[in-house]
Amino acid sequence: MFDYLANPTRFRKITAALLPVVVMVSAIAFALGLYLAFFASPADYQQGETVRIMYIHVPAAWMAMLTYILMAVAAIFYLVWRHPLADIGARAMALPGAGFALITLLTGSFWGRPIWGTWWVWDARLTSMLILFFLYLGYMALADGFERAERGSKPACLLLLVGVINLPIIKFSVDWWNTLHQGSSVLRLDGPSIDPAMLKPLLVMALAMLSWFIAITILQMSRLIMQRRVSNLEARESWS
Amino acid sequence: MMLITPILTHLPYDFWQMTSPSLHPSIHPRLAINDLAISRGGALLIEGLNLELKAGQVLFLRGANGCGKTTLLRALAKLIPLRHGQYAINGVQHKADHATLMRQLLLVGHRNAGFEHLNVISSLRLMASMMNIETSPKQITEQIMAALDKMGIKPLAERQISHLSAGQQRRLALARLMLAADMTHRLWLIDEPFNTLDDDAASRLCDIITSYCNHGGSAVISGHGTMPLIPDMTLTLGITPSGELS
Amino acid sequence: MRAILNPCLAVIMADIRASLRYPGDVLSGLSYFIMIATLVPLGLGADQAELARIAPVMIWIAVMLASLPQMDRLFSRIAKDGVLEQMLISPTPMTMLMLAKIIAAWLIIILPLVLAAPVIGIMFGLAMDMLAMMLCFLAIGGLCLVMIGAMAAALVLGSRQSGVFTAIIVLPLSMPVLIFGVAGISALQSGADMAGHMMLLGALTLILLVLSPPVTAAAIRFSEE
Repeated sequence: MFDYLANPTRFRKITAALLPVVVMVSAIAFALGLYLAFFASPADYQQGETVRIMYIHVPAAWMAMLTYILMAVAAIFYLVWRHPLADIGARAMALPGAGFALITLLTGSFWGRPIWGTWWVWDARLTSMLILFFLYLGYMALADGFERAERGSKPACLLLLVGVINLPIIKFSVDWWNTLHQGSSVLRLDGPSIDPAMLKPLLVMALAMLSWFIAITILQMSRLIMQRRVSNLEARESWS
Repeated sequence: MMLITPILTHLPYDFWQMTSPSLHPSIHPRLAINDLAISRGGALLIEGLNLELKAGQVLFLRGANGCGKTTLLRALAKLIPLRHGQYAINGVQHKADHATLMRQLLLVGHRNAGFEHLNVISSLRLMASMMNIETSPKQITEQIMAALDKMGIKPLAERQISHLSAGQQRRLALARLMLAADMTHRLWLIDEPFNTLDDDAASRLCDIITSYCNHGGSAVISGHGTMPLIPDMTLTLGITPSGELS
Repeated sequence: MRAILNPCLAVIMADIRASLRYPGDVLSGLSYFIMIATLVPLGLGADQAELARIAPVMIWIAVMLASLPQMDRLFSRIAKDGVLEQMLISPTPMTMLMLAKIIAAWLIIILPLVLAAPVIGIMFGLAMDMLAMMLCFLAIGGLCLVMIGAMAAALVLGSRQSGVFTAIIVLPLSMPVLIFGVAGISALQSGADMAGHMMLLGALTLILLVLSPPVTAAAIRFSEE
């Protein structure tokens, strides 16, 4: 199947058909989700209206982690099978992924401020998200940090794999550190249990973000493919 | 691919001549290349290369700068992945065990690979160790002194490498070839050696290579222009910027 | 076996000789170390209790800051000279040669810091009776840091502004080392049982031992392509 997708012309045809569908799904889902989140869902009895930030924070967190895993899969495809589209895919997903991580951090901070009294708490999940953000930054810096544009692809993919192996270790270590120090006072940011009334807006927002992410990735990949074709043509020009 | 039109030519058989009857016949050619293609930075540099190099022969890669000579040499040393095709040195396929393949070759590249804080003897001793030349330390020292002598830098034996001039460092890099001079099964891959050598060093290098080939060794050497070696034992592969091979 | 061991030992000996001939790198690392040891207590004032509380963290931060610039330069010189190219050509597996480089880096970078650690301990008023265990923690944690640093240095080889990248890459990966190391030394200080901490650090070291040399070798191969 992946060989089928590997052909860039076929890729263009498939994504050209897919793009309008995904954009429409995203627009509708965002409209519906935001309405449900901010108007139609109940306020939390404990946290009041601020719980509504959760509808952005939690899907963004899911997307940040999902993106990293997708990038790691793409990295494996690139390093093992030298699939050029895999490298382009990883590069295309990097910025949206970093954006999701940043949104998670910012919304988490805003959400927690009324509850904790501070802007930041070193609990395992927030710290892991911060680390994830740094890993995204590291990938982007490495992928574009070389004179020759494609020279950074392989080291950056290797970094992705190292990161994906280390992320559970880091999360474990911060978790362990917290149990050592704070006992069990870590707040569960998504509330005591998910009320079905709260679950629906959450899932709709998640769908909205996912479809937006797919649309953006398609656009980015097309742009990167074009860019690479141009630079390849330029390289051939200089040979003859 | 339009800008790069490879010409698939087999080198004419009468162009290849054995130089010395004292070569013992080996089952495999020293180097056998089959339908090789190499690309670099998205551009296809070499395509459809077929070649066979026998013991005692020298392959001269001739071409202008940047057309793929260094790339081909480094690809033969397995430093650069192949786009397509395969090659074998002494019958050892390039996809075979890494260590076995590396024991069949010796590369002297553009850079001199000297350990700048060590003196000449220590650096060569370290390189010999990395090339897995297994002899006693005393023998190694003798071999090193002989190699330095052959390249005319014996007086510099105790000098620190960073204190040598560029020409002396280049001689040192080529002296490394002598360390494996008795292992004539090794294929020498030498990148543009004659470009930066003065006449004396160049003639010494010629002597070394000629003597190596007379004992059954082979070499792949790159450069531009003509190469000062005995013409009837060399094959020439010309690589032009548009990728034509001849 | 000999084909692997001899070149690796030769690489380690060459690196050690290099650092003995040009001790500048090691000395600058040591001076960063001592600087932190003196400036932080000075700035904090003479509150012994507080000093003793932050001492474990400061020691680890000092080790990290002192070793990072040196690990950054681990491969740059030999990459330029073409030595890495020859290492890739060697019949000895590159993974083993990289393990040798890592061991050499530990001997050259971490060992001096570990030996100077008692100085920091004294300046921060740490109890000296568990000194040997503290040095053990530093030595093992230092090995983890060197393995992480080698991976990072190999990945950024040949890039522009490699110093910044190395820091960005090393920072997230070295968090567990810091956490387990600080927890271990704090436990030592308060007399709690530190065997568990040591084992966690040991587990991390083993994971890195399996991960770091191959990743470093692969990254160097990519940089030479």
